[in-house]
Amino acid sequence: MQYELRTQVIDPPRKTFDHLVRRYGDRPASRYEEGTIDIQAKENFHYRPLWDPAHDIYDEAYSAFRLTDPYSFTDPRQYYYAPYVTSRAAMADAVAATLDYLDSRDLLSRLPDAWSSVMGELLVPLRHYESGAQMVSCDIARFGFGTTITQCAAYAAFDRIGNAQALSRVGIALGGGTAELLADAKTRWVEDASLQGLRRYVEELFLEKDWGRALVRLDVADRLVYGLFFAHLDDAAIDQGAGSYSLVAQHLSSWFADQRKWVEALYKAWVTDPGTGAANTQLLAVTTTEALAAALVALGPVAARADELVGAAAAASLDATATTIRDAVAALTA
Amino acid sequence: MKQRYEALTRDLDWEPSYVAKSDVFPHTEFEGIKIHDWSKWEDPFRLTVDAYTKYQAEKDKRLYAVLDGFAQSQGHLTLTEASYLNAMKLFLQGVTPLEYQAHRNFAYLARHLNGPGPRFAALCQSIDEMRHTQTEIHTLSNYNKYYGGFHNYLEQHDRVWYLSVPKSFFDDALTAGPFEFLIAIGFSFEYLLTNLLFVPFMSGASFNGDLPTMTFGFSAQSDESRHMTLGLEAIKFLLEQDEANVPIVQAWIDKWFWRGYRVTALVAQMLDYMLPRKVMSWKEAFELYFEEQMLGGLFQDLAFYGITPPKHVDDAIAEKEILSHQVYWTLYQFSHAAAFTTTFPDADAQTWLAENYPGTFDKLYKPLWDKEARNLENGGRHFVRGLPQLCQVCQIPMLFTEPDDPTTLCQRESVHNGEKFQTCSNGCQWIFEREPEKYVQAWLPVHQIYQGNCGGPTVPDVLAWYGIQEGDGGEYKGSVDDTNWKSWHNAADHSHIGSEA
Amino acid sequence: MTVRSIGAYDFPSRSRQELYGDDQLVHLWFQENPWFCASACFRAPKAMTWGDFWNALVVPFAEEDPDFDPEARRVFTLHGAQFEPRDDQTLEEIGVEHKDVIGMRVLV
Ligand SMILES: [Fe+2]
Ligand SMILES: [Fe+2]
Ligand SMILES: [Zn+2]
Repeated sequence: MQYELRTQVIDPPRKTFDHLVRRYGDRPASRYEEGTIDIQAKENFHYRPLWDPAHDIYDEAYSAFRLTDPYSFTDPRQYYYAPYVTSRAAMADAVAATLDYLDSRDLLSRLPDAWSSVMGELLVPLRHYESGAQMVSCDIARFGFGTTITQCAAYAAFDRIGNAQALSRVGIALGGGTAELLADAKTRWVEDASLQGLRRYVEELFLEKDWGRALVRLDVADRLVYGLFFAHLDDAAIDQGAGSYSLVAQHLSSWFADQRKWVEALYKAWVTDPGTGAANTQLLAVTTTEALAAALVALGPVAARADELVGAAAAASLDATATTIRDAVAALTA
Repeated sequence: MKQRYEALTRDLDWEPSYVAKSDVFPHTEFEGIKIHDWSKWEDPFRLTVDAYTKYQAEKDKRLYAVLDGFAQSQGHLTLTEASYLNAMKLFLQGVTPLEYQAHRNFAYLARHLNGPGPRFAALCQSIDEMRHTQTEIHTLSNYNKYYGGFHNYLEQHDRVWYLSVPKSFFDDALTAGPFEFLIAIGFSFEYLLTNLLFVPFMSGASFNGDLPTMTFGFSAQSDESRHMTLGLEAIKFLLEQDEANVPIVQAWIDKWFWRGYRVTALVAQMLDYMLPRKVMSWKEAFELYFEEQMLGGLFQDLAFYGITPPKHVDDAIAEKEILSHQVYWTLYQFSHAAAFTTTFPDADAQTWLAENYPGTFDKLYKPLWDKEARNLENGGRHFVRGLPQLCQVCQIPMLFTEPDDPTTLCQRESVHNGEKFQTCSNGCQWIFEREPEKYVQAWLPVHQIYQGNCGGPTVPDVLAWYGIQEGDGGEYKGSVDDTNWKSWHNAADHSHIGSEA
Repeated sequence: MTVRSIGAYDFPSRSRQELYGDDQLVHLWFQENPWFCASACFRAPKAMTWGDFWNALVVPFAEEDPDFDPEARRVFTLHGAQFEPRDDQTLEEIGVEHKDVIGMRVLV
């Protein structure tokens, strides 16, 4: 078939799929929109789950947080699979470059002892925190309502494994190329007094059946953990001549900035919803406040241990983050 | 590599002590499966997140470059014929939403399985399936701009009669426990039947000039081989963990083989009737991919564990020369209520069918088409004027015949709580009677239409509720697609005029 | 057999008779006639007479077969036994229940 096809202009009769035309009008849709909006099945589910006969396969009643239209939330990063993996491939390259550099200059063994301890005792065990966060995020990816939300959660779950693996690789590098320090970190996660509060927080989070509440509870802990380890201690490390800590921390802090973009956008969609906004706001305030109290109890000993090791005013930094969170809650209900 | 992977992934787990483990993993006991040692689950690929994202990003870059190039160059005009796209309409309406369902439920496994190895493998599969959902939508999105039948595929998957076949199949799996889901989808769908479900569409694409779909298919292959391996590891793990698991797993194989096999009925007619350029007959595909590779290979291996071939496999084998003809004869008459078109198989097509089905086509089905030819001569193409009886389990119109008699429809009836329920086959009846509490809930399109839940009492009401527009369904010849295709090709020819070429 | 589930698992049938009020679903099986790919499913009042059922529902459906002859002699079966419907009998009087399958064969 030798047609002169390139010269032909055909006006396509249609710009995109019906559900997108209904929502956005008759305009071409982006790949994010075509791959995300309205994808979750809506009606006529055939059977009830054997493991939860009270709910439908997809059911907004899996959470008290509701959106009148679940697709009023969209991911500000517009991640569908291709841009998501592309962005993560670049992040992974950056992490690998840092680790190579640390390795080539033997920088981790040249860390001040106290900072070496912060990494081995506190930072590397966070791989288990990340792994717990993966499970919680998977729950959201399955039981969340609406593809825009669950897609973010699924990628976040994958990110958490990526974070856990990155921290593990730091542990391996710190352990001189062996997995010894990882085994040690696991023992610390299970036994060290300073980490038990955080472990308890994560284990209790596994039992949270409401995915919206689980999301908030995880986010509150994340804000304290990331604020402490990858913002505050990052600064302190630079001041105290532990630059290689900071080289590692930068990757996790930039990941967290990316993560919080969608979480904040979801909070905003929740509280500004014309129908459910008031209830969501109440719920968000209460859940955040409760979670913050518990997370502070969980992280207090971690900050105390960091202060013992490097005297970096970690406890004060935790309080500062808590104040920021409290202010945000106050602004919600004001 | 292995060590590194183990250190990076497996060892992330710990024994909870502040809460009960059974509360952390509340869904892995009720199915009766016994697991003694989760660490025995081999995760064969041992991908790390960095390796995964780099590899996948590379693949997507290449795939989207092909999609963009094809769209820019009006590549759709180089298909064998617009009617080829009926196969892709069926794919987007029937298969793509299943990829999405798989995405969601592998995320469920990535939360609810007790072992970190299988959880991570499930998580990789979960986001792979999101990839498949989206790359399929993006691949077919360009066709949607020019051809009918694609535009309302999501709503149709939830509503339309023939799409309740794949939807109910996957809903059945999603509502099962985590281990049954692994056998239903991880093993039966992704391993046992994948060459009868997924591969025929991709081969059809390559034979009919559909470069984007073909590229998508190739690009998904490395994902699928991981999924197949996961499915196989899953079944071996369950069988090795406890002997008491064997009969449970056997019953799931029996159920999910038949459930999946019934979905392939739609594929069978696609191969034999919908493709303008044929790849291979359904019979040939069934013999090669199922009888040789699965019964002759896989089940020989599984015999070691005491697993036998699926319960109703002989009924499936007995059908291989009649299945596609019966299904297409049905779709031909019901396509006025579908989002794809059908047409009378012309002389060439009938010759091909007779050659490939020497024992059945001329004897059983040609007479029907001859009679329809008389209809056509008299100007009356045949469409059914009412609604068919549906199978309570597979939800396909009850078009199948007795295993030993291709001229007698198969009717099976069971009574549950005083109500009669009909099924299309021994397989579907067995499935119904095993779990009647589940199948009485089925949202059967015909029954729902009669209850008034589908837009209204008349055919136009229902079609409007389906979002079916002029040209989406019915007869292909003279349809909107056919007319556009011809005029675009004439225009393409004319473009030579006055040009150098 | 019964399902294994977490908690009670008991849902009403989505096709139960009460959802059709005074009507019921009736299947008609065109035996020995492959033109009809599957049995037909009709919604019909229980009190509908056989004559109305035949003329209002069956004939319009069956006419799609160019060889359909409404006057042909036929054998009807229900619940495994033959029956000879009279036009003035209601479906209920004949014994047709919700979702029953009526077999129908033309005598040659
Ligand atoms: Fe897939
Ligand atoms: Fe797959
Ligand atoms: Zn069936």
